[in-house]
Amino acid sequence: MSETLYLAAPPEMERLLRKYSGGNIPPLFSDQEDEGLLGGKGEDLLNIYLAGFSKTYNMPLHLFPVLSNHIDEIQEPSEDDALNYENVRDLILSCENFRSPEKSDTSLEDGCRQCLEKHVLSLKNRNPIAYMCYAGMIGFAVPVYVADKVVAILSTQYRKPKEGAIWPAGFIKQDCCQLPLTVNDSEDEISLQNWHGNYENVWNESKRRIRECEKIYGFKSSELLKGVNERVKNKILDEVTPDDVENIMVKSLIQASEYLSDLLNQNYRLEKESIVGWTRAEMGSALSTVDGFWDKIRWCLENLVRLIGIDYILLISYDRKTLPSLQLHCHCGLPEESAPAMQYDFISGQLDNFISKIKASERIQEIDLLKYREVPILSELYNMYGKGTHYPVLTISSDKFDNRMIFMVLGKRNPASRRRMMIEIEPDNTSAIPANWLRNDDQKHLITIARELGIIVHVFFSIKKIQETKEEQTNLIESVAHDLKTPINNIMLAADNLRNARMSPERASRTINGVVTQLERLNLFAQKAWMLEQIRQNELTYNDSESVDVYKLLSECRDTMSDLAADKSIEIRIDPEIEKWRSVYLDIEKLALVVMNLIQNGIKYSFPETQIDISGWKDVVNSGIVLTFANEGIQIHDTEKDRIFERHYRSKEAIKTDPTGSGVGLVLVKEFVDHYKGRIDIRSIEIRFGRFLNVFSLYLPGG
Amino acid sequence: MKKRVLLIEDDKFLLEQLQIAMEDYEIIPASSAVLGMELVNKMELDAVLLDIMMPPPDDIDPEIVGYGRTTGVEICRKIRNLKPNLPIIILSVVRDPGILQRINESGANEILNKPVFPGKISEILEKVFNERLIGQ
Repeated sequence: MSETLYLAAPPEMERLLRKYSGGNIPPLFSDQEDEGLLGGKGEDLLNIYLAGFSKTYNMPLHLFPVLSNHIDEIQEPSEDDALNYENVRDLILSCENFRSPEKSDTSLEDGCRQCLEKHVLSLKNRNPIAYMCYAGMIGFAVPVYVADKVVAILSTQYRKPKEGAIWPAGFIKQDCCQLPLTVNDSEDEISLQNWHGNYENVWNESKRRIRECEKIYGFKSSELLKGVNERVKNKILDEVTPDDVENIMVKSLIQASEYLSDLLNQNYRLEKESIVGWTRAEMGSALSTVDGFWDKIRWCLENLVRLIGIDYILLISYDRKTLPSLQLHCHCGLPEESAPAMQYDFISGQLDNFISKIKASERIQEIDLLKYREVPILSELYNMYGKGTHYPVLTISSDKFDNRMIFMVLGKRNPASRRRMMIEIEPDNTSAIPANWLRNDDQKHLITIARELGIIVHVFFSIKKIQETKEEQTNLIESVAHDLKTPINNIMLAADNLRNARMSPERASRTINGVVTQLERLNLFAQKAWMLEQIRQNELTYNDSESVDVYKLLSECRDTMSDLAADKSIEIRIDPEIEKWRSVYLDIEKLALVVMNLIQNGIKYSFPETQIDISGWKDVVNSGIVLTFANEGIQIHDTEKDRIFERHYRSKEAIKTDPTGSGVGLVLVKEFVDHYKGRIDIRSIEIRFGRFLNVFSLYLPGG
Repeated sequence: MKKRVLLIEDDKFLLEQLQIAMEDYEIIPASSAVLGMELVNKMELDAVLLDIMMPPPDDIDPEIVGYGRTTGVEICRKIRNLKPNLPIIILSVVRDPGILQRINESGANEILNKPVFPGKISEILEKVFNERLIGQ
């Protein structure tokens, strides 16, 4: 008997209900070129379809992440790839066999991913939804696009439908099997009987037929395709075409829409089975309309809590790339006021240990919170709920996508319902740890949903990242335009003033000096742009054959920058000791660019009437040199010290001092230092209130 | 009598060169937004030429002005509140439609794309002065 629960309004459904109540849905395929389901009106279609599909067919939907390196390896499909037996067959098998990234059989996993991606790419610029496969099963795969890139595939799991599920007449055409079966007649009869009468065997039958087809055609799929096409053409076979599928889809959309309308009067009273489907639908929709993303995810978590009978869930991520922190994204079942304190925690040491424990297995497992009390977010949890009675269960959803690991902390407040002893987890123990207070089927739901949820959150972060990148690009273009136009404009204006003799000889001389500074500014910009382009094209070469007189080079750079420095009454001083150095072998042009960049930055971000001190010493141990550039300016925060070497990154404080600049100068410095296997250190020491001594130290070994 | 025009521009070289070039006007140079606002408060002016990309002053939240990319928009708004009839011309390199809309909403009379040349500035100044005359 199915359980009935009353749910809070699913956020996305509420939106759709408001928009489409009464069956007024837009056409499935637009005449205009579709940008993908996430663009334009596609997003609503996807959501309605998800809702309808989940409800109507009780068929689970799955989201498969697509990694960028896979996409790169795939060629754009030719016309012939569009409806290709091999693709579809692989798709079916891969969906069934798809394994999570944590599993060891990487060849199978790669194969699965690749054929999924190929399949989806073959659908690009065509119908976004897949079609009937030859073996008689139906399903679809929806590529999830983010800015022209497929980041994930939402797909039906090609497997037997659940018992009792509604498969409308004609949904699977009974005689759509392409080839007469030539195996044992009696077995065949049984199979066919099963095919018609018992959905239990549909999936097995489909696979068996694929294999039979392969036997007949000696695994030559092209021959098979040819044979099938021939038969379809001669009307020997009643083949299901993409058009048929479109018709089915439209029907399904109409059903979904009617269903949505019905819902208005139903107060979301749903059967427990359907709630799982709804949760999936909401999760899927979370991607297509990023607004309110966490609300939707929270709604899903609330359902999970009620379905599974636990008390609280926290969705937490750990991002290896940026900060050593655990980040709580959303939660349910905990008092609202407890959440803010747990938003961000910066920690180390204990965290590594903690993370390694979670990594040990992707199954549900229990962690002794008491051991991790130094991890603030977990200590909060322990203090509130964990003391001496029970422990949360951690579920990993995914950890190999974009360096981000997402996991859930599940909790049970009532000690009486905890019917098991605590089990210690060893990092390498991959065997399942039974969480006995969870029912087996609930555990399965939980694992599947958690995995999908993890992927969705990953994709969400990818979308955010792409949005940020786009914004950065716009800013960059403006900065570059500014960097280029300003000196040109200034030079033209000065030249015009000089030509028209609008100034005294003294002022004219100053103007000419100013023009030289502007030209140098332009020249430096051009050099930087050229070096950046070479880095981008992997064509940057170094010329180390010339000996460099470091002092001379520093002095020349100082002279070049002297006008710029004079504008802010900044003095550039070079340690006279450097003059005594013997020559070193480094690429002189690039070293000059690096030095000029550091001086230019020093001037830009220094307070007026201060000094820039360039000093250095010979690194006897590594037979190299160390150069330091110290200026007095704004603080460089610890969190920004690595990021300022990222392309186009500009610290907030830096922008405050000077809104121009493209954030590429330090990328070049880093590239130079990396080439010589050196390093660059940044120290920011407060010398007076609000004033910091910023020291950039370049360590260049073997110079 | 020469019209008095306040030029708020953080690029000192450009500031000086424009001052030299625009001899038909009395150009009052201001090399920062703070100085510019001070002069707006103190002086009788006929127009303001205002650069959009400048370091934001302390009383403006850097985040609001894109960390300096649109400081001029906020300064323009402030000037407009103080002097509703003072012509303001924004000097800009921005092409972003959103920012252009914000400039328009801030009460600027004209937007002049950089590179700026004295001839073009004079043309725009005369245009706004005429409009003002007609308005009166």
